[in-house]
Amino acid sequence: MDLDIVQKLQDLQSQAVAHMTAAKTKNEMVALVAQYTGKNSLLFEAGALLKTALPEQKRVLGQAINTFRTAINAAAENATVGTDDGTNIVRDPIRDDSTLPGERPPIGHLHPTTMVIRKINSFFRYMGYSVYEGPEIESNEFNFEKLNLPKDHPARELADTFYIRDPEVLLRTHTSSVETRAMSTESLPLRIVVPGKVYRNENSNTTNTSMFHQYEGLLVDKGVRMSDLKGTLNRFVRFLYGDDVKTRFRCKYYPQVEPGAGMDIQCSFCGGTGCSVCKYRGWIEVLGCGMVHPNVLNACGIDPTEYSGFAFGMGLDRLVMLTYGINDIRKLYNGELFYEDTV
Amino acid sequence: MKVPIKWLAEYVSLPDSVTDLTTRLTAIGHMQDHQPETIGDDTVLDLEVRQNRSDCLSILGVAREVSASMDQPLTDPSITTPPLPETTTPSMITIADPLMCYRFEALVIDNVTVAPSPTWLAEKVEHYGMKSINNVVDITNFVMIELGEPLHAFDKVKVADSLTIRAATNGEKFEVLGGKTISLSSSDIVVANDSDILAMGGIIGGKNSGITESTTSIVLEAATYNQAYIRRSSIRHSLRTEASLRHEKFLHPDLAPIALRRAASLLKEVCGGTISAHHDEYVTIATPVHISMSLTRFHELTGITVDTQKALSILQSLGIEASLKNEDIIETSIPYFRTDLLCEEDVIEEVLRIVGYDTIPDTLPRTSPPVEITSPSVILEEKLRDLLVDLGFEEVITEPLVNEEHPKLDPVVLQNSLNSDKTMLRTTLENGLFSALSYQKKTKRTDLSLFEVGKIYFKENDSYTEQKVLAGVVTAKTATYAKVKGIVEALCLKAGRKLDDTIASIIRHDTHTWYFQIMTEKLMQKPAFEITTIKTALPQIVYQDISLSVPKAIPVGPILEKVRNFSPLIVKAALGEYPIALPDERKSVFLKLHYHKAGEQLNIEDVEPIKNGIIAMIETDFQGTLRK
Repeated sequence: MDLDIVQKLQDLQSQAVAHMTAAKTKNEMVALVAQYTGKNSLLFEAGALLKTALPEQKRVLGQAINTFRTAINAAAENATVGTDDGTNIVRDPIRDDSTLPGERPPIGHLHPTTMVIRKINSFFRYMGYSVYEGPEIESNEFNFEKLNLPKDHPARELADTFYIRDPEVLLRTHTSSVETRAMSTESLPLRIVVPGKVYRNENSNTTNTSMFHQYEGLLVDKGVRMSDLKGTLNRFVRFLYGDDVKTRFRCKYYPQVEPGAGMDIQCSFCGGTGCSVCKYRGWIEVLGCGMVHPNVLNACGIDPTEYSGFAFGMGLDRLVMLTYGINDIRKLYNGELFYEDTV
Repeated sequence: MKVPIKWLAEYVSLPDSVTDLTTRLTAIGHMQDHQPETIGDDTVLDLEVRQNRSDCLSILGVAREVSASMDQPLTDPSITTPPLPETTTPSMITIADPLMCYRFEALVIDNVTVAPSPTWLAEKVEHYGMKSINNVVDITNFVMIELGEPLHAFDKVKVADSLTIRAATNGEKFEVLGGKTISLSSSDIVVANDSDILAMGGIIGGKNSGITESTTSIVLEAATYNQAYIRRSSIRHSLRTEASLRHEKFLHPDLAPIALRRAASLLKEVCGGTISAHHDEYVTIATPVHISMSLTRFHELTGITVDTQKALSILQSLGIEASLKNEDIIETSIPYFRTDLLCEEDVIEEVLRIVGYDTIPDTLPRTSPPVEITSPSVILEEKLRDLLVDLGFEEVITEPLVNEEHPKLDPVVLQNSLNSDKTMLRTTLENGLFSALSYQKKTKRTDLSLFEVGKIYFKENDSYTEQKVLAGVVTAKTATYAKVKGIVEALCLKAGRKLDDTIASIIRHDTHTWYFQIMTEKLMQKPAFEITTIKTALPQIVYQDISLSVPKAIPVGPILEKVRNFSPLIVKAALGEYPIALPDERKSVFLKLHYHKAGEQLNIEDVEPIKNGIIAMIETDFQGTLRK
C-alpha cells in the first residue's frame, strides 16, 4: 500500500489550519470543516484506507489521521468566527447541539395554598392593605366576645371550638379574631388583610378538616360605606376569577357585621343553571362580609359615630382546590401533594 | 327550614316560578340550601335560616318575607282566631327559676277525641318532614311549623293537678319519648308534677305523659325558655329536636299566647273538646323595643339614598310599626316576631335588603391608604420561601394538631379533641416533614428536599407560646452536614442575620438524610448586619494559602476564628477545601487568607511574618504543622 497519503495529510494540515483561522463567518467555517473532513476529503479517503491497511501501516496511518483531525478540531475550536447574528460558532456537534434540552438546576415549588395567599395579598397590598398576623392560640375575648358573639349566642353553634382551657383559652375558630386584636391595638385608620390557619373540632373528610385556612380583610376609617365594600370586593373577585365573572351581592347575617352580606359568583361549571358543584343554586358563595357591627367597634374602643368600617372573610382551601383541581382537602395538609413539572 | 309551597301560598300570593321565589328569598337573606324537593303535587323549599331569625323557622315568617319583598298582601291566620278564656286561679303552674323559664302558659282541654289526623293536616305535617302521629300531636306540630312556637300536649291524667318548671337535680333520670333514658343535671330544665318528670322543657316530652288513643283530657302548653339552657342541654344530650331548634333561638314571650290560641281553635275544629282552664305564668314582662333610624345614617352607611315614604312602607310591610318623627328620623316599634332587631343598623339592613343589595353601587373608599403595618415576619417568610424553592425545595403544609409520643417541649394539650390523633399542638415540625418525606419517596426520587414554614406551640410557666419556625428535610446521596449547614447559613444571611446555635439546629437522621429547623422569630430578634459591602474599586487584597495538618479531633471552627483574629490585616479566613483524612490520626486544614490594609498596597512580603506567626500559633494551640 502506498503511504503517500500520510505525507499528503501532513502537507494539507498547515493549509487547512490557515484557511480555518482565516474564516470569517460560521457558514464559511462549516464549509471548511466539510471540505477537510467530509466525504470528498483526503481525511475520509485516509479513513477508508485504514480498513485494508496492514497492521504496521495501520499504526502509521492511524497516527496521521489523528494528528490531522486533532489539528482541524483545534483550529475550529480556537477560531473566533462570528455568525450572522453575532454569536460565536457552534463547534461541537454533540456537546453544542442547540436542540438538546437544557440541564436545569432543580427548582422547587411553593404549596398551592401559599401561592393563592400570595396572589390575594398582591391585590390587597396594591389597594393599600397591610398583611397582618395574630395568634392561633386565642382568648375567648378576641375570638368571640368582642365579635358580638357573647356566651350562648346561637351563632357559636357554627364554631365547634377546640378548647385548651375552657372557656378562656382556645384555638381560633376564624381569622376574625385578628380583626378585634388589630382594632384594639393599632391606630386608625386601618386597612389589613389576614391570611391564616383556623381550627374546628370536627372529624376530617374530603371537604372538611380540623385545620383549614381563612382570609380576612378589614377597613376602618371615617365615612366608609357599604358601596365601598361592594366596589372593593367586585374588583377583587374580577382580579381573582377574571373580568367576565358574574357576581351577586346579597343579604346575609353574620353576628360581627350589620348590615351583613354574602358575595356569590355565578357557577362556572354550569353557567348558572345549577349543578352538583354549586348545590343546584347556580351560584357559588365566595365571601361573607358586611359593615363592622357597632357593638364590635365599641368593644374594641372605637367610636361608631366617628368611624365605620367593613370586614370580609373567605375560606381559602376550597378556592385552592378549585384552582388546582384537588378533590380532597386532606391531601393539601398531610404532605401527599406531588409536584410535577409538565415540561 | 323546609317550606312546602302550597302551605306558604295560603298566606301570600307567590310568583309562578319557584326559581323566582328562591332567588328573591336568597337576595333578602334566606339562601336556598338544597334543591327544592317534589312531594306529591307539592314543592318543598329548603332555606338556610341564619341564627338570628327565629321567625323564619315558621311558614308565616317566610310568608311575611315574601310579602314584603314581592309587595304582596299577607294573610295572617293568628289574627282571626277567637280569644282564650280568662286565666284561672289558683294557677297550676309554678316557675321555680325565672332565669330558666320566662313564661309558661297552658290550657286544659276536656272531652277531646284522639284520632288519626284529617288528610289536610297529616299532609301539611308530612310535607314539612315530620311524621303524622294523631290529630292532637299533629296540631301542636302544625302550629309550631306555622308560627314558630313549639307546643306540647300532655295527657291530663299523667299531669294531675300541678306543673313545675324547675332545674333537674343532678343524676335525676328521665325516659324520653322514643325510649332512651338519660341522666340529667341541674343545668337541664324539666317540666314536672309532684312525682314525675313529664318533659325536658323546650326539648322533648317524656315517654309516659304523651297523648294516647285513650286520652280524653289534655294539657296543652306553650313556653318561653332561656335559650342558652336549651342550646346547651340539647347539645349535651344530643337531643336536637324541632322544638329545641326553635327554643334555642330568641323567641318572644308574646308568641306563646298567640300559638296557644291558634292551637285551641284548631283542636276545637278537629278533635272537639272544651277549654276548662287557662293558666299563665309570665314573670318578667319583656320590654317593648323601639328603635330610631336616621335616613342620613342610612345614606352614610350604605352609600345609597332611600325615599322616606319607601322606607316607611318597607318597614310596615315587614310588620314593623314605623312613623316619621322628623324629616330625618323614622321611629319604629319592633313586633314580637322580630327578636333580631336590636339597634339602628339592624333597621337599616331591613330597609336595605328590601330595596335590594343589587342597587348598591360599586365605589372605592375615599380616603388614602394608612401607613403600612405589614409584619416584618411576613416579608421575611416570603424571602425564605423563595430562596428555598430556588434551591430545589418543595413546600409542604402539615396540620399542627398531632399526637406526639415524645414531645420536645411541654405541649399544649386540647381538652376536647374528637380525634385521638389530634390531641395536642406540635412542638416540632420534624414529624410532619418526615411523614411527608415518606410519601414523597414513593415517587422514586432519591434526592428530595422539603420545607415547611409554620409554628410550634408549647407551654411555658403556665402560659401558652407559639413560635414561628422554618424547617426542612434534605435527603440525597451527596448530602453532607456541611451542605445542609450551608443552606441554613444562606437562609440566615437572607434574613440579614448570622447563624448561631440558639436559633438553628441540624439533626442527622441517617447517612443521607438531614433535618434542620430555624427559629425565625428568634432570628428576627438578633441584630441585623450588613452582609454585603459594595466597592467601586478593585479591592487591594493579598491572597495567601496555608496548608496545615492537625489532629483529627480538633474542630476547625475555632482554628478559623483564631486565624481570622490573628492580625487586623486579615479580612477573611476561609477554608479552601473540606478537610481530608491524613495518616497518623490527622487531617488537612487548607486555609485561604485575604489580607488588606485600607489605603495601602500590601505585598506578599508584608504578610510573610504574619503567616509565620500563624503557623507558630497553630503549632502551640492546635498541635498543627505546616504540610509540605
